[in-house]
Amino acid sequence: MKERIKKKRKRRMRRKAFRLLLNLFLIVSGLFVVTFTVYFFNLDMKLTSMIEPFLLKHYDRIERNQHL
Amino acid sequence: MKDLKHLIYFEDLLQEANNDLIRQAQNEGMKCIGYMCENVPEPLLNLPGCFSARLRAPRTGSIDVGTYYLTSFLCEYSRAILERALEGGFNFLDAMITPDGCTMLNRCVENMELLNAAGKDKEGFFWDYMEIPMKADYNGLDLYVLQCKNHILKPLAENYGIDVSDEAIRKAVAEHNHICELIRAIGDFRKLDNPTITGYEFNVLCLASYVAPKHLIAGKLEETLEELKTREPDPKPWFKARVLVVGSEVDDTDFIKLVEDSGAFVCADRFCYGSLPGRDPIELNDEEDALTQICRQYMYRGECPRYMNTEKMDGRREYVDRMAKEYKADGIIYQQMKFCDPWAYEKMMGSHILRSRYGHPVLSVDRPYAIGSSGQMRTRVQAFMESIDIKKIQKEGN
Amino acid sequence: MAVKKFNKMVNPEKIKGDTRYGDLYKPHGKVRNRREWRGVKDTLYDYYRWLGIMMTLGKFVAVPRNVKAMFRYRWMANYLAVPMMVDRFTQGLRGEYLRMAHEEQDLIIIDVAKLLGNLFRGDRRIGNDEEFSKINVLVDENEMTAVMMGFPNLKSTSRETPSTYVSVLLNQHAAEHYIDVAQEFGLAGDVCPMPEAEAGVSIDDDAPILGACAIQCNTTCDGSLLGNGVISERLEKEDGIPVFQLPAPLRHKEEDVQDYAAEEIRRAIRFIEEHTGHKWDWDYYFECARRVNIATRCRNEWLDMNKTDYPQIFGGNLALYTETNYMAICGKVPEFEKCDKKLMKLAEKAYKKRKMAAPEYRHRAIVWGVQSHFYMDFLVWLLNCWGIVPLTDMLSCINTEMIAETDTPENREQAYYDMAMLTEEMIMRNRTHGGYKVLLDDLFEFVEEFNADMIILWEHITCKALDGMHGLFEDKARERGIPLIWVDHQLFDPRVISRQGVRDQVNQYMRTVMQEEPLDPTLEVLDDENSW
Repeated sequence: MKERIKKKRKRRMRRKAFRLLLNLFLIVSGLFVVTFTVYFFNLDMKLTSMIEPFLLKHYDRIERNQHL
Repeated sequence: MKDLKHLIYFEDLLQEANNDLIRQAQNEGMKCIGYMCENVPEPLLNLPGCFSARLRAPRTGSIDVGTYYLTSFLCEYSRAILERALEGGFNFLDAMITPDGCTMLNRCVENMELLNAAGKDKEGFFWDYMEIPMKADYNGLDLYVLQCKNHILKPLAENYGIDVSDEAIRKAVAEHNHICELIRAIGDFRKLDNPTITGYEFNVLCLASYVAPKHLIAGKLEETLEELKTREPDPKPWFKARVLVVGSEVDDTDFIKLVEDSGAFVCADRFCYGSLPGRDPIELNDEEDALTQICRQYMYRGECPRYMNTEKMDGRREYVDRMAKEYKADGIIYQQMKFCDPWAYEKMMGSHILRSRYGHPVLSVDRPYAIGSSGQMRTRVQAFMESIDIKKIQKEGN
Repeated sequence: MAVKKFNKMVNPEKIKGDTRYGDLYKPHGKVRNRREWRGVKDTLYDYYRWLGIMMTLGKFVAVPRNVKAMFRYRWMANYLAVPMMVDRFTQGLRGEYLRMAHEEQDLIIIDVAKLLGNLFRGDRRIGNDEEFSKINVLVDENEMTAVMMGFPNLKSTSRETPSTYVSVLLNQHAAEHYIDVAQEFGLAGDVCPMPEAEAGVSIDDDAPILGACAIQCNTTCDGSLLGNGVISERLEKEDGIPVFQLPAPLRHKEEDVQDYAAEEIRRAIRFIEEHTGHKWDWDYYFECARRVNIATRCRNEWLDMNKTDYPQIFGGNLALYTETNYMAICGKVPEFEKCDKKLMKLAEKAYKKRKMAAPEYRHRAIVWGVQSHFYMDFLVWLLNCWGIVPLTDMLSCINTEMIAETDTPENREQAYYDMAMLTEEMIMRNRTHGGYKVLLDDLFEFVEEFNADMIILWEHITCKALDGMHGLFEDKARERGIPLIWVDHQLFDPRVISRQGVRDQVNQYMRTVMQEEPLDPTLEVLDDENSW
């Protein structure tokens, strides 16, 4: 009886660990896929290149004490 | 006004780098030492047995070869000098001394040396380069003295047996001071409300004093000073406004002429090879050696923009303000030879500061080496004259 | 004289992944279509280093004052392009070469991020940490920071490095606004655009305000010396930050200027002590001196390696790292010592394997003159497009001598002369000043030493010191039968000569004079005028 319970617990633990690993694997792979896609297709630079014109407009609006 | 008796004589001296007086002095056995920057103390090149000649390239035409070697981005002065050297125009020199003052002049002389453009087959001929201080202080003075010893006095003594003793230096300073006093006395006539000398005439006399041996030019300058004492001015001043010209190297008398033909009177000259402060006499005492005293005075009075310490930078603008007041200038023309880096910055700073901090009307222009009769420059000066006129009227109205 | 020739070398190893690099460019685009495929291993490595860069940037923006600064200073917008700069410098690199590039560049990115963080922490407009501001000594962008080697608790902070120098590396158009500002205030358009842009930043009120004092140096040229005057006008008179002007002699090879130079170093140190209250620490100085020597030894070895058939650290990998490590770091940052050693290992490994960085080496070139700053990855392009190996560049041909590194009374005196020597022979000015020998004669000595068959001569058109030797360079190259390619540019301003304008000068020479076809024809003409 005890043996069976132990085995069951072990199996449950193993399943849990497996699920955890699987989730971890899925998260890591998901992150990898997302970040690698961003990396490979240069999405980071494509995004920042879209931000730049707004920033430049903002700088033009700042009042400056321009003198020598 | 009646023409000055010796004006044509002085103008003729400026027509050739190798002028009559240089030839005469060399025939007397003296050595001619070429230089290109006002940071070389002039009296040291005028020791007994030698004399200085400031290099110019009068009547410059094509500067194609100079441009090939130096590119079109170096100032036309350096290109014109190299061109003239390659044409053989400086073969009369017995030595060439240049400081690493501005990069362009330094490169010009290096090219002359490497291309063997002067001193061919001349025994004793030498090229020498000096470091000059960039700050006016005790350390800068030590450097200046050492550099003058190593790069002027030593080669002059070794190559030509020139006497470089303290006594000889003092003698050269006395001769130098005599010329300076003459030029300054002549220049003082510019302070008159109705001056008895034009800026152009003064510029010719002053420039001649840099390109001819001192002992051979003194007589004519003395006569001119006497003449000026009794010279009758025109009944009314011929100009609309008095201007102080500040800036980089000007050895083209046509530039001053053009400014004056546009209705101005150049009442003071604060540019390289002008009289302020270039023709300030050197005061010597007996306590200290003459060389140190010369270097100190050159260093502290120098208005070259390569001096980088704050006191010197501020001092340059204060000096211009002081001269503008002393010579009663109505406005200031800051001029810069195109492609001159030091004066590009100094012109920007000076013109803004003199305008905003000191309240002077300022015209800021760049120009070629040989200006001829540039319509563009004439228009700018005329517009400046008008703006000064308007300001005067507004002031009177108030 | 017969034209010098080099027998081309073919790489026995095939280059993995993309080889048509021009295809990655997006017409008229600011950025590229995608990143390079370098084979599985190298792509994953590059990806991993990209993640590291993202972490550095993430850490930087996590600090609120840095974000505030991003919205205050125009030049901060250029930092959006950091990852792209790395992509440009690593184009076509594989294996050890890629690793070397990342070792250097990633460290430089971390160092610049630290510098920015410090600037904004002390900046009166942003962090306004007054106590922190007091331990900062402002230095020029192009200045040797040797006088800071004995102050372990002070920071040598350059405002110009991030606002103009690094900015133009990141974005070719970064300095244009500041150049225009300076010119609006009357500065001539024919001066060097580097000090011009730096002056423009000051005029435009776009420089952080901090520091106990500042050390300005006449660095490389007349423009640089005079540009400092514009900056100090505001710094001293408006911001109340005292300035010491440190003049380094121009004729730095002459013995009779060294006492003057050493005395100026002593005075600069005294000035820093006086204004910061910190005392010069000899232990720290000699520790830094030891690291300077390590860097010098490594660089000497790399250059020796480049004299052989299998150069390893060359082109972009040599130029950018040397500039940073030699001048800005100058022994003060231990991480650079580690990096030197890592680079040495990688180089030795690649050398043993007789590795080559491109499919073919067709020409061995000495790159001379002042590089186009807005196109520093041109060196990478030379290799990838035409198979021209940039063995060394002028800015990497700097001090090769060891300085005193043990603390003895004699060495303490010698140290002032060593610091003076380093300052006098800072990058660029060690060649553009000091007489024609160091610029003209040395070039042809290097050509012999490195067994080069070509000279790429950057002509920074408003660098008067360099222009002044134009004709003599040409005459000498002709005499010696060395093909010399002039590459004109305007350092910080691609509006005068664009990147394609730069490339075209090489393309035309290679096709018409050398009668060659490019190694990668897709790189010959690129539509990158709008690119960062």
